[in-house]
Amino acid sequence: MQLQITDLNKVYANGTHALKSLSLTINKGMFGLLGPNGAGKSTLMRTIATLQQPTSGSITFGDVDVLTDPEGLKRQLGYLPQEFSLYPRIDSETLLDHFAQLKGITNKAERKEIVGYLLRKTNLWDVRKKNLGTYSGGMKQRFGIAQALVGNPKLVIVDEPTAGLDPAERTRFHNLLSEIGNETVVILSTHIVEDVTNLCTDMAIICAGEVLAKGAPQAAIDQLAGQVFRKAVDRSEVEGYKREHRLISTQLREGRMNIYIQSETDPGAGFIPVEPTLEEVYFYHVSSRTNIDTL
Amino acid sequence: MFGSILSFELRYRLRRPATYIYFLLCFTFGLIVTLTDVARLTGGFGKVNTNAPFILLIWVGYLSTILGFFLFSAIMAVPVYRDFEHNVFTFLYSYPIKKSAYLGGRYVGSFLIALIVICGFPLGMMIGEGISKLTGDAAELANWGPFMPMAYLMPVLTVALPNLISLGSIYFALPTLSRKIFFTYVLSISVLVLYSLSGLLLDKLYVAGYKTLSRMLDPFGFSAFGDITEYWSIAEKNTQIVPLDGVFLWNRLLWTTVGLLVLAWCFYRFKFSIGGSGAQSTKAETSDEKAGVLLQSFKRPALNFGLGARWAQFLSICEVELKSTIRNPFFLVFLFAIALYKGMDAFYADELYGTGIHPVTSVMLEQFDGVYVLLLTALLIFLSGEVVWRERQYKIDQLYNTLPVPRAIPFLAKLTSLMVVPVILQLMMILLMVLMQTAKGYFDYELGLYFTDAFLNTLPRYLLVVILAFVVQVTINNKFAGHGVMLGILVLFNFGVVRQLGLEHPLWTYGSGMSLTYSDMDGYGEGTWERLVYQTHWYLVATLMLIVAYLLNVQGTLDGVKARWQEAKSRLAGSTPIKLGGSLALIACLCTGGYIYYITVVVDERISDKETELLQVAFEQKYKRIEKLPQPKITDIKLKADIYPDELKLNIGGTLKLVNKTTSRIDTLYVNQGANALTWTNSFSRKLEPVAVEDRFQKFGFRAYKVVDGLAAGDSLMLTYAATFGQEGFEENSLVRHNGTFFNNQGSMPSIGYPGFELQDEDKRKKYGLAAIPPSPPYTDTTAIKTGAFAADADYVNFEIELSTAEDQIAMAPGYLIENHKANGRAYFHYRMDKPIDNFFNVVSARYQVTKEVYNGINIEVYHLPQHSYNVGKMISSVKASLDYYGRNYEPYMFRQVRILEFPKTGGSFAQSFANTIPYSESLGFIANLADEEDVDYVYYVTAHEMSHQWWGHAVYPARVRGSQFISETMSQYSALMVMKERFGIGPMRKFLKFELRSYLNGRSGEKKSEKSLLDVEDQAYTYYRKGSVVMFALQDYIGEARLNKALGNYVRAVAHKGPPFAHVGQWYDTVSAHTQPELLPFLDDQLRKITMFENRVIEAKGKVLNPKDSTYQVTLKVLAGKFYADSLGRTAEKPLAIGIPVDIGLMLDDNPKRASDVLYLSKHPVLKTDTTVIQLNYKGKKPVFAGIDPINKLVDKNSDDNTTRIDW
Repeated sequence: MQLQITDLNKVYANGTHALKSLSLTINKGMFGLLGPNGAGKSTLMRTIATLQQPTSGSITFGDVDVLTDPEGLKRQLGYLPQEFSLYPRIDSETLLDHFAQLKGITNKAERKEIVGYLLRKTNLWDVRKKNLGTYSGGMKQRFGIAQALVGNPKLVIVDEPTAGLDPAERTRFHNLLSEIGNETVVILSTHIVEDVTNLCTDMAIICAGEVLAKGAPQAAIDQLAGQVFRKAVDRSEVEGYKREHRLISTQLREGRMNIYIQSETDPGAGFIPVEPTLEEVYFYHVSSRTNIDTL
Repeated sequence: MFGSILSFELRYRLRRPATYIYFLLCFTFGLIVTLTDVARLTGGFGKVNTNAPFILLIWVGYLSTILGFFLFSAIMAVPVYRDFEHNVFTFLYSYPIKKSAYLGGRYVGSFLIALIVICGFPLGMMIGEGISKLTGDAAELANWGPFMPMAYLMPVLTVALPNLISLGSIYFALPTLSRKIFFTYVLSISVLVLYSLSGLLLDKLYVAGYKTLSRMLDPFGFSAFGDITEYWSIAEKNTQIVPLDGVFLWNRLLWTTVGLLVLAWCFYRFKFSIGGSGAQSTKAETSDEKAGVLLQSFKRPALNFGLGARWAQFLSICEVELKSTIRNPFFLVFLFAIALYKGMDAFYADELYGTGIHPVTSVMLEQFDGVYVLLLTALLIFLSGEVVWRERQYKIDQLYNTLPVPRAIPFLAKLTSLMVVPVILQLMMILLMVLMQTAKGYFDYELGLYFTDAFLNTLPRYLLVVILAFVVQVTINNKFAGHGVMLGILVLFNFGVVRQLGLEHPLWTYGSGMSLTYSDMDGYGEGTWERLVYQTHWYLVATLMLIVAYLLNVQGTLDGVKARWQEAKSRLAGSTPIKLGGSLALIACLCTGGYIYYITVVVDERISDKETELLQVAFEQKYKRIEKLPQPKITDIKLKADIYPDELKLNIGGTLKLVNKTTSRIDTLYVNQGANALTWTNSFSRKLEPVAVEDRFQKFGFRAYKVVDGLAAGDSLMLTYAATFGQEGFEENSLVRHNGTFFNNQGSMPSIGYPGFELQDEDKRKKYGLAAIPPSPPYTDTTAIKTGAFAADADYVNFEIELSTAEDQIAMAPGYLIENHKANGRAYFHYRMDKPIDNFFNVVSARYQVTKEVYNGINIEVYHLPQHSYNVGKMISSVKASLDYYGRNYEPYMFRQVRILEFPKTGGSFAQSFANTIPYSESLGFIANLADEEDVDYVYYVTAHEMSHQWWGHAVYPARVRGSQFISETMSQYSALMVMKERFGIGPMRKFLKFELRSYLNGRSGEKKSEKSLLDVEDQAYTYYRKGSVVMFALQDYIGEARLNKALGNYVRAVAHKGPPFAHVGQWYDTVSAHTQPELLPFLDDQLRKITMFENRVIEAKGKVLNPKDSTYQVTLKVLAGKFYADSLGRTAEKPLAIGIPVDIGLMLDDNPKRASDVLYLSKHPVLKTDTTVIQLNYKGKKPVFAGIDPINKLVDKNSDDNTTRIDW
């Protein structure tokens, strides 16, 4: 199973060019999608999920042409949008059963089984009879995960899934995702770079509707090895360094301003070499497109 | 602090488009009201100016409040709630703000905005007035009075402002304290329903005597100012600004105070707390993951997308939608409100003079219409918005839209879930109606009829509403705009706007042609085919709308109208079933529409109101000249009519003898035949040649013939005609019903002469350049008194008719039964009158049960439905009492029989007296519940009234001059009152006379042209019926019943069975005044020849126990008495005149005496001064509770409620 995105463009009615000739090939496993706010991540995910029509381009999933046969994709899709709510006056078991039915699980016993399983898995079993209106943000998020997984999806798209989850819940969710990632295409959009490092076998960084980098996270990190340096500086000096070096980010360390730069050679002048993480990779790419001045 | 919060609130509001939309809405509404004729609706389109202060008060006050129900809630509910909604409160409440400044600033800011918004309404009206005056022609300008800014301002100050304070404060307080907006919705609808309900209850309270209380409790003050203006004349309405005083003032103060108290309570209770956001399960948060089960080990379920799965998806969505709807508190509130309202309404259904009915199922079925439909439609509009927007509203749409469900399934499932709503309501209504029947002690539930009517008759109409509301929501794709559009459609179709626009053909009105009324006698009647055709047509239209909506249905994120259009096109192109189904539906719809058009326009020759007007104008212009031409009169009628109830067919024909009673030769004969007949032929005993008449005039039955040799004075000719009637198109042209045929000579027999097919509306006559219709001639016109009131083409006629009908029916017409037999499955009846009667007869045919009694040689027969036998005994006893009283006082009854004949309510709700034959509607009296002795026995009354017509109307046949209705109707009102008084005594008269007095005062208040005195009365029913009752009752009271009857007897004997010339009020007045005491002659003149209003009032009544042992009491009354003369527009002098006659002073146990014994003392006392008169009474007997002047309401009192008061002991 492979998701093939080719030359995808999306221009909104107001003229925003949200996706610019974007092409990606996504294989089975966890695929991380990184990018700043407004990079086009959500547009891309909604387009894959058939919620939105692209202006041009093509998307295929296996032998399904997503744009001409949306239902063909929907039958294999699990989708967790970034923002959603639930009917407040219905309990989670009923609603999940309803979704299972809509996803094509007609056998009542099977439905009961999968609904029960997912509710346990997402730790909602004890509150399954409670109306969704009484759920906390984390509980709602877990329900969202459950509904995405109901009905045997071959493609799972999750947009910012761990926002609002506490650390334990987040871990639990990651386990769940990696479990299904073995035989499923999972697209994970997130701001948390670390999650991608930990979970994903493949990833892409997009910004302003374009793919800036793609590949395995470790490979990307390796490419930057030995090229990142940092230095604690005074706030007033940052502008000066910015002119002289390829500044990729500024961060606070123990209350002091540190600048991170990329350089193929040791710049000296008090710069300390840094072992790069995916975060530095991310900043490296993104800083080429946007002003990442965090001052 | 307050200032900055207030200014922020104002700035915030002024940036919101909603504020401008609300204002514009009010403004446009106002503009429409004065630019169109809508405002004149309340003034009755008469001489009341469009901008009369009275009308402005109603429109500004009432409409601003009705709009206020919604606007106030939209504006006043949100200022504080907004902070909860957007979670601003979480930090805002940590600021050092004072509670009073915060709440006060928000409240005052919103209040000002609401006030400005509401002022858009009078502003729009003012601009409308300006435009109308600038652009109107002379005729239109005549409808406007001078511009009075105060007339616009006062209603804002007296009605809108206090209502804004009371309603607005409640709307403000609830969401502010509860932090839930939901209560506001509940409140809006509850207020509306409770208000409608309270109207009913307050009215009960009012009638029960708690007048002030009832007026005070009215939260919006409509009935309070209603009291001031209720009996205003045209002149007063045009010039006077409704003053803020009396109960109106107190009412406004009370409700303003209530509003302020609510506000104070809100200020007191409000806290700047942030608090928990509801129940959260902590248990779940801590419980740990169940270990061990891994997804891989889990057997993957099979996915299925076959037909069965689709069906399951459909049902599943249906279920979720329906559950959500049913659990919606708003739905439950609505359900409750409808149940409450309809329960009350059904309980008091069809009350007349305060007397209820036996709640037979056919009457209960009427509850499934009217207000119920409006409430149901409102509910469906609301729910369709909820259903269509549910996913998007709950932001769950992204989940739904990625599910492998074809678009059609949620579309249809949602629609279906909405369709279940009226089904639930219908079931609830059936249950409710059965409960109401039970509550009233009626147990003959016709469940089959309930279900048939609820599900086959009314439900299909409501489902059409469901589809429309759904389609609108889907296509408009904005919930509130959708509501607005539906509301617009509702107003357009429900309040006659479409008709005003000239689009009166039923094909313009979605869902038309589908209402059927069920009658116990005739079932659903003959309209069932028509209904089926219309129903098919509208369902095809609905299908087409659904297809369009389906194509335009937005799913997912669609970008703009253009994208939707593109998408719709590609959806259409991509779906063969839709293309095929749509084309089929379109073709079928065009077929049904074409068929309806063909039937209505070609077969039924339906023409528009406008075309009818033009035809009337053209006819009058061409033929007005023939009105005065000599024509022969009908002297003998011999008819034969075959009624076929099953086929809805009628064959009728016969011979009329026409005699030239004039002194001149007649060359041309003008014949009017039934316009609705299928075939009609005339033949004559002499040679007549048809004269060409334009086809368009022929269509409504007008024919002209040249009498070849002329018809010399005194000469005669025979007209023989044969006509067939049948059900051809949709219009009920056959004159026949399946059970309960009832028609009269109009349209079934030719009439002679000018048909009087004239446009009546004065404004329109002016527009077409026609002269105003002159008043009827006075009785001094010696030519006019030679024409009879009921028929111009005959004086008295000899009448004979042979009838045949279905074997199981009885057919009847005036006359004695000569012969009857049955043959070939038909029943034959032959009737003949032995004396000449006026040319006014009826034919009925139905399956009857007959109740007979012989009384003094007179056959009394009641022909009725077997199940409607409740009051047959009452009718018979009233007939007997009438025969006695009228026979004794006027002259012996001229016939040997009286027949009362029930006819279906589809034919009307009245009784009508033909010679010895009285058709009586099934909905009038046959099902009245007269078990309570204290209720007004209107069956007894109506029967006596109709009986009286045998004397007043038939024996005494009035001439076609002014006051003819005085002879027939006023005298029948009088006669019936006397029969009632003889049976029930004077006590219950007050209740009855008060009804009559109120109807009169209301009637004159709505007069369009000019009011007439009783002797000059023309077509003012409120005068000859209502005022007639009160005036004649007073006359017999003052002159003396015996003395007056002696005069009436003399009059009857002098004029009965005579003519031409026929009876008129001239002789009547002469005879009665000759018998009247000289000191009462001015009073007689006041009562009959003038428009006299009395104003009698008790200021106070003090009681003193003189001797408790022998129960002697002294009551001292301070009273005012006076009278006013009003001109034809109701203008009166400022100061009253001395009343000139002694007036009743009474002591009573009950303010509304029900029994004769409730009136302890009643005697006339002189009250000749116009200022206070003190009257001291010593009384021995039961301790009186009420005292008053003219307490029985014998005199036409401007305000009859202040005549009595509770005695102050």
